Amino acid sequence: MAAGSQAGAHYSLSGKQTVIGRDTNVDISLSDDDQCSRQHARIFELSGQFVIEDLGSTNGTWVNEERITAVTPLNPNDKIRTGTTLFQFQLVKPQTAVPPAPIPDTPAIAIDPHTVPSRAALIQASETNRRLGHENLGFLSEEHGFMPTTPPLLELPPKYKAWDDIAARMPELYRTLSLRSAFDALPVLGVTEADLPDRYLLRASALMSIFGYAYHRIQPEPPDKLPDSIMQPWLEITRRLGRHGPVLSYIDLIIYNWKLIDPLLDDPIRVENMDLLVPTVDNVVERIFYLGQVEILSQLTPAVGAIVRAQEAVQNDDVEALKQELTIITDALQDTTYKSLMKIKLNPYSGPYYVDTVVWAKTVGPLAVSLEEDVPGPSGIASPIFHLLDEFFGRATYSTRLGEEMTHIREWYPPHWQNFLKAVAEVSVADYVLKSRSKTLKGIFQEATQAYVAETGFLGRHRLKAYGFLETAFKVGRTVTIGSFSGEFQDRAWDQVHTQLNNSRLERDHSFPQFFHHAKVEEINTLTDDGADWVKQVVLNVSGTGVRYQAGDRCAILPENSDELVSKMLKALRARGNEPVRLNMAWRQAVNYRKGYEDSETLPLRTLLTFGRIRPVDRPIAKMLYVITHNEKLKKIVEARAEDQWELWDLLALAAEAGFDTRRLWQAHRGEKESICRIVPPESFRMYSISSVMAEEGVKGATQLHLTIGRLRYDTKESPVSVSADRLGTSSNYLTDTSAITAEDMGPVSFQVVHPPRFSLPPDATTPIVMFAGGTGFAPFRSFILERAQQAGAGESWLFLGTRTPADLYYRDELEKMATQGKLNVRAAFSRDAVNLKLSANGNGGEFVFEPGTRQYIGDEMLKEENAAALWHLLRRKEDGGLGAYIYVCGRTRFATAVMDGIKTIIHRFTEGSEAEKAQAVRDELYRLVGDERYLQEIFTTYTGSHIEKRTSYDASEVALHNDEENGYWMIIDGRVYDLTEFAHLHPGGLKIIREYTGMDATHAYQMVLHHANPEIDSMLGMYEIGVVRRLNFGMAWGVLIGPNGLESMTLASAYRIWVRYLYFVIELENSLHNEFTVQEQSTTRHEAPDALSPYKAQLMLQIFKRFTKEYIGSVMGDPLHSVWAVTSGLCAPHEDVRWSADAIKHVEQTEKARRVEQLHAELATMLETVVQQADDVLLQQMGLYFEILETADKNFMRDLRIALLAGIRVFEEFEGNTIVLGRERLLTAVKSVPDVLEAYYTNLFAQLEALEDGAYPAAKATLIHR
Amino acid sequence: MTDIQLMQIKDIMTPHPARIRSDATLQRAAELVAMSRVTDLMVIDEQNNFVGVLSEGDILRAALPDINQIIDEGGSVDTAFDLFLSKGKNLADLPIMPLIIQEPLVVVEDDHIAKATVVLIDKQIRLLPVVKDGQLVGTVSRADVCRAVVGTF
Repeated sequence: MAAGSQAGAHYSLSGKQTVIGRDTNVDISLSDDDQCSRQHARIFELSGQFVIEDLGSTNGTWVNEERITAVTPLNPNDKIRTGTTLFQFQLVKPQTAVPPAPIPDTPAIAIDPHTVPSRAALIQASETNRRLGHENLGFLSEEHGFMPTTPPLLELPPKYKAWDDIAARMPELYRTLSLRSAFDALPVLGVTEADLPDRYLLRASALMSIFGYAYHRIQPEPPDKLPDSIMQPWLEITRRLGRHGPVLSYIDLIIYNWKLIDPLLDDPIRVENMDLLVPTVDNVVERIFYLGQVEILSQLTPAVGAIVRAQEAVQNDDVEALKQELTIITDALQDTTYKSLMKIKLNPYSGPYYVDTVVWAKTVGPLAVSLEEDVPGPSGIASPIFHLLDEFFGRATYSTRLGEEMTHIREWYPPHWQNFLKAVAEVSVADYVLKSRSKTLKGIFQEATQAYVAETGFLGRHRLKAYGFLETAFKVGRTVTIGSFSGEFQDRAWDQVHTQLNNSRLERDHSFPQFFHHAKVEEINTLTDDGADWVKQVVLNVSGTGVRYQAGDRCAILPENSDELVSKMLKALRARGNEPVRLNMAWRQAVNYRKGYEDSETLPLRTLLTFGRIRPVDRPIAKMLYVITHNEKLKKIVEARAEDQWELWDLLALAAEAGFDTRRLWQAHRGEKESICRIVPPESFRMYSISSVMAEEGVKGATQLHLTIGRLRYDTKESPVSVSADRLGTSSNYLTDTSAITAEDMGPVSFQVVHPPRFSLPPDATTPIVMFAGGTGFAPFRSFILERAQQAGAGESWLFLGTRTPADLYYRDELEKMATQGKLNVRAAFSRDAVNLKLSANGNGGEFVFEPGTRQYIGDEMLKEENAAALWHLLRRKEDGGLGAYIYVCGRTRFATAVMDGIKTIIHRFTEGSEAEKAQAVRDELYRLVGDERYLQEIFTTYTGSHIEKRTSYDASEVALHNDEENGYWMIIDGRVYDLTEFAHLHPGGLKIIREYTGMDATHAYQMVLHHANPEIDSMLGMYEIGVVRRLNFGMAWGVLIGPNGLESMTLASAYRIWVRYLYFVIELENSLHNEFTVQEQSTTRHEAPDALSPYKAQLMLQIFKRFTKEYIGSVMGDPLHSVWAVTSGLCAPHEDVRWSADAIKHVEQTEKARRVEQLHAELATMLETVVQQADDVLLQQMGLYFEILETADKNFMRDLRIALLAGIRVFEEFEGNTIVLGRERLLTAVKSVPDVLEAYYTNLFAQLEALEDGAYPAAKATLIHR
Repeated sequence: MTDIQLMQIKDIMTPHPARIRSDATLQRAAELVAMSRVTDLMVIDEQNNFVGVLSEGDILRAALPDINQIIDEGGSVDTAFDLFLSKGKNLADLPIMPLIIQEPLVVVEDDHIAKATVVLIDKQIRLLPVVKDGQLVGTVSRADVCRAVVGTF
């Protein structure tokens, strides 16, 4: 009750009906209200919707101050007045689970009681649907999975023509903002059983629910209520479908919202062959986003039948059949991940599948946000396939936020789906596999699970895609998602969502049993050996593991340290090696991956060192060692970031020399700081390219797996914090160092196969390929070449090899054979031997010969006249007259850079025009090549050099100047500075997400997407590294300031961080604003010219400006400024008033000019109304002039604010520890200039608005005056 | 080596700690803190019953101006510093009562010293009252424990 004698009271409406009246025996008795009748009104439930009816009262029943004349539906927050008493209607979450919807009476279907529950549910569903002649109870069949058995209906019976017509006009209604008036004018059509046959119900549902949501969401201000033309039929449809309430379900928006362009195509349910049936804006983004989900669901259809058959195989104890079905599931998941999910591209150069995240966030994302809190939205997790796979793989918990949301969604599913999912949960394939003794079965099950949950599997890829959308979406102003995360910019809501997505992926990961494959080393062959360096072929016997792989796949190996290294460690530790070490948590988990050590509680010290991470010395370990030993030399090493110049055993020796007893480490308890378990943590996986192809396809899986491994060796330099020495990498030596032991003596190797997202052969075998291999970068190309040799009609294949001597031509016989048969063109550049490679014909066909020539690098070879011309022809698109080849680069960072430079030089050479035109052509061609995903790199980091060798260092104030196209895009990640100006356009996740973080430290964001753990990306970044961030030393300077609760102390270093945080906050908002404005250059509704200003686009622009004034200015002139002022005045000017900054901003905001600017939003909104009502295009164009002025002003404001703050940051950089003493005046001046930036913004904007209105466009002003 | 007998509070406690009557003034408390060189004073009533603990930190904290006072006096660090001095002066005549920590964590003589150590560290307490039948019988400080457990005598 909102007002009345019992104001504040709550009444529950759970009963059959609730009568309100003056009588004492009614449900809500208002005996004090003499304006109320004895039995005034009643509220009851009708078709899952609460409605109110007046019971013939004297003074009437009012809903939202309108007297009701008939049964009226109630919406949340509706105000109900009976007499003088006011109620507010609210919906609360039901406390108990909603019972599954009943299946209406249908002829009984006889099912054998021994049938597996999921099979029974499947038969029940498909048979019921067949007999009913419609699928209103849920699409479900073996042939079509969760998809309809026939494509969705294109239209309703003729009497509903008005609906079909308006559906077709949706984009236009959006564009002109006339959607609401169009629906207000629409007649109310009945949809009872007598009016509309059951088989039309799903189309009617899709129409009404999309209409309902569109009506609500098209304008930023929600309507008072939905018009009867939508609401009445929608309620009726809801009742007939047995839904809990009106909802835009996943079925409405996705599964029953597509039509085929060409129904006769093979495999027609593909994004490119579909259109939306009921679109809203119908822009490219909407189509790809929704239809992409249709394609994914459709492509996963084989998994539905396979899951049922797999459960049958378990019931029949038929291992072979189970393997078969699991393989089908894996294939379906992998195909869908790489062919359908990866199809949605975020890079604008990727052609027709480009999805602009900003357009998505502004035009598509908001639609599906639930209108009521308890109604689940049609988010990605509403797709039944996730639910099915979860049940099948045995997800045990749903406790994360998204997990709970999934449980909730399922309550709203149609009955067939609910029953099927319940039935699938009854048989645990996972348990069966766990108990099985078949290693192959376990392996195959592991592969299937990984294809679903792994970081590189369906869910992992899905999460990365989602992050790209969500982050941009939040930043450009969508503050609600379907999963009901909300928050302002400062709350970093996108990080929350992202973490939630990852938690739910991990939740699944934990529920599913883990397996690791183990292989025996079969052979180790030396491919080349010059004494110091060598390359070897390692042959793993993987038969019986169930592993399958394809060309381009990688192998993750868990390495072991060599006996030699372990002995050095033992010596440094003064131990014999047989000392038992009790394992801590991390170790106990990690030993499970080591065959024969599963579930170990202790390990002999020698074994622990063998499995541990010793090389290289990680920074946290070096720091920990310093904490334990307090060794002065170690401190210097850590400070100089030179720890990677050392090995753990030499650091220990160093500490021992200074008196530290190294035995302490292995004598310490596993819980203690000194414990060896912490100083030597478990080693992690290392990645290698696979150099072989599978002998046979099918369930049996691979028998052999070849790796090509070069010895990793590097020198460390002599310096005050390092010594000159020869160092070796761990893993390369582990698998190949046969000097001490033979292949037969080697224990089992723990490994996993990992499929890279893009680095694989072209889908069409006739497409030519060009492979650039730097040294052992040849490894993956052996599998490419072997695969191509088997392909009929394969296109041209080229190999460019950059290496030292002809001895480095690994697998020379194979190459010669392929080259002679004309299947491979080989080019080589030798950097140490002055020879050129030639293919010479001889009696047996041909062989490589080495003619005297010159020493050269890969770039020299590429640029030779004949090669350059061939490459130019190969790399160009087919439509430009080229061959559209796929280009692969594999090697170290420097090699990859050389190849890319070579490609750029070739483009430059073969294009015509001025130097500027050529430069542009180079960029365009390269961006498109990458955007087409025809330029694929696999770069491996070996040792990139220590921090101490980096000479170039940069300050934050310099990096902050590079956050736009003109000045380039720089970024700080993990203490290093990168120039990503070129890479931003090559990034698979698109420019916009990179742009968000330019000019600042992006380490956090980088780690959120696990890029640091992804060698593919992490190593590519190396190509763009330009230096390191200079470390500032603030010593121990500190001071006192006035904090939120009174006096507090703060170090100068913390004060600097507060400044930098303010700067980065401003930069992040500036970046985001730039991204946001790009929406105006895009086609937001179908058939809209990208640069045209429509009323809809004008509304989007208005929202940006409004948000800028209301949120951006408020937040950058709010708490961060006041913190910086409190810190700066406290440390530098104790006589200053801590309130100064807040007062100064308030003062500016109160000026006449500021108020005028603020008022402008209301004026522009009024102009837009006129534009819509009178279709006044001239006025719309004039609004465009206001937009131009505002956009420039807003962008300049952010830039000027950034520059103002940089003046302060530079003081810290210049004086470091003496900042307070020497820089106080300048620092104060810098903060004090901040309110001036705001004042200048209002002043300039005001002047421009005056000029505009007095000058060329009096009509605009006239419009304003007349209002 | 640590004497194996030294395991209970009574073995290591300081039996006659600095104490103050609950009706004393802050001036008296300040003098007592300075004289006794302890961080916390034990507060007792007329019947010698244990009442609570008064810490020097709380006395100082009472002298530090809160944000509203700072704002009222001009809002700068300088004024806040002046305010501290004048507030400190004004505290002298006030009773200690409002600053007493009522119902503090206490130990009993039979408690194991490890138990006391846990709470000393966990709750960042420096001095624990030892109470028997409502009467104060001693205190255990961090220093007491250090000396008894890690020290050599």
